[in-house]
Amino acid sequence: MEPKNQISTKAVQVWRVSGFLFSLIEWGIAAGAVVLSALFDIPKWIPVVLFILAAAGTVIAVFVLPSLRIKHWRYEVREKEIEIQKGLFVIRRTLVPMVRVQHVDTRQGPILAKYGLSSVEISTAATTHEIPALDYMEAEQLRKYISLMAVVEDDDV
Amino acid sequence: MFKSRRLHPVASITHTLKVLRGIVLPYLIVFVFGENRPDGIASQLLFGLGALCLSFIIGIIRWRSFSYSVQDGEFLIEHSFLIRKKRYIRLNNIHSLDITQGIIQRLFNLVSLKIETAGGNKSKEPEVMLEAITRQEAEEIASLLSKTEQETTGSSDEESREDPVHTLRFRELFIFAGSSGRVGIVFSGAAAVLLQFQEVVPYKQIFRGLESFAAAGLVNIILLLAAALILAYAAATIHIVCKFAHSTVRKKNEDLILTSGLFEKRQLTIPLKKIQAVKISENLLRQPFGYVTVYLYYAGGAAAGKGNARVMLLPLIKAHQAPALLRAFLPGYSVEELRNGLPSRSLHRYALRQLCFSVPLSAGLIYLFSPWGLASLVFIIISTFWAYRGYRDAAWQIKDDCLSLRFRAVSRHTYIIRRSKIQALRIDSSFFQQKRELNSITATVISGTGPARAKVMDLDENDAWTIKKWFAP
Repeated sequence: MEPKNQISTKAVQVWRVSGFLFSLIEWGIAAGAVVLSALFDIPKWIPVVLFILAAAGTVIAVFVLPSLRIKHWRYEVREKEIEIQKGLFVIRRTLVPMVRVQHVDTRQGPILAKYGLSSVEISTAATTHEIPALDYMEAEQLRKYISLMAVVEDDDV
Repeated sequence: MFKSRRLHPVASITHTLKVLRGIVLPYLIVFVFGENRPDGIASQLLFGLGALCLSFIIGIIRWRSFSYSVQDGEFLIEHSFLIRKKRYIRLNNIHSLDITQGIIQRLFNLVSLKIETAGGNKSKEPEVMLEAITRQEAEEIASLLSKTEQETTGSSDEESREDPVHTLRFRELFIFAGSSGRVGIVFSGAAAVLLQFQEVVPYKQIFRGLESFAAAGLVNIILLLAAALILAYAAATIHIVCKFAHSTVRKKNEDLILTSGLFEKRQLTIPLKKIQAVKISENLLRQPFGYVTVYLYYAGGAAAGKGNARVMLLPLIKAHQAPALLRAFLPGYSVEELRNGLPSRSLHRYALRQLCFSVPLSAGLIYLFSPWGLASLVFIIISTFWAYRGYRDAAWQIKDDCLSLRFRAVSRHTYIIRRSKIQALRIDSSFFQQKRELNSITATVISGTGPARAKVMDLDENDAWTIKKWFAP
């Protein structure tokens, strides 16, 4: 009984791009270490190790994690609740009742925009839940549907 | 209801000022006091002018890219500065509207409007800030809001029965103060104060005197330390006695009124419907004597002050007295024995979690320091015991619309949460848990500054399923 819907398969590419961009930081650090070791008396193995780490980090962030991440990513928006399932090794399944939803945001950064995707952020009074990488139209529809369904029925908060 | 609107153009000025405020310090550091600062007044002025123009342009872009509207009972703000962002807030979720008038707004006869929703203060920014709008516009929004409010809130009933009251007893006040473990705070506080006066107080001379004193023997040093410790302990105890003396809870209609303090009286009124969860905590010192502390989590909102999100309802009470009192103060909360524990197959997971730290630590110490390292075996004994207690203490119970979750960190905590206050329920299962059909369950509630989470590890999968079904049928 998993939640029904999968996020866009393009999410893998988005995560690859963002993973790559993120790993540039590691390369930057490694490059910095080379410069420093040329200027100061620093053991040569330090930049070497940093380069190996950066390479490993890039491989993991670009080739390993994205496909693992999408494997368990499921969501389902039902009449009364939203269910989100995600995780790599620990699978986390979160239930958010519709009536607890405070507001819904759609977000589109430059990478998501390039792939015509958009992410939906669902906020309750205490928590925020993100459904990343949905087709732009799908995200808008979902957004509308949730705000329509999530009419608070009591004055709890 | 109205179509998309921009703020008043004056908003671009307030935006500009905001940007300027952000860059003024870095600017001063780099261009005025920096080592590579440009030479001569003229070029410095030029840079300053450039920064000013840049912030003004940013201010205008921010103003141009921001719009808001109210449609279908929803407040919508859109801004598309670098990232396109839309935020929707349903009108009946809006907690407070705050209309203020700063100097700039006053010059143009405008106001700024702050909109806040409950728990919306993850960052310090309000949910929505409309920097410059006309007074009519602000009133229009306020009237839209009060219309929805009238639809949702029912009539308030004015019945007044005999108010339940509970006051912390004198004896318990001292036990509470004595067992609060705040000696450390007094010690570090005292150290900080003493260091402040380093310039004034002739410590060197005092210590020289002490040296000869110490030379007289080890006994003296120990005596001195003991005296300091007792002094700090007494100071901490007195401080807490003053703070919690006359701690009283009174239920009046639909409010709980908490008062306490010997010299400085504090009073706090919590409407019952703002209460998000009840937590019963037993720390290591008090548990053997059967004493517990009862906390309340409540949604204070930004207006009520952020620090007040968790408050002690009953600082100290005998565990067996707590249920009856809580029933009197908190109707609708069921305080019962938690009957559902964990399956025996989760014991080894509790053990593993503790032992994976203590065994390597112990092994390392034994290897490094030959005979004395053996003493570190005590870590393994403690962690085994701790793991067993963690396993024994974990429990859950569902009664009507209340979920109780109990778990041990160092102290033992029992959360009692009504279904309508659980913001999200999470069920985790790691690879190893799946094999043994175990799940962890986390319930999240509002607690003002951030979410509060009650988590029970390694429940039977069927139990987790039961809780899930109860939560979302």
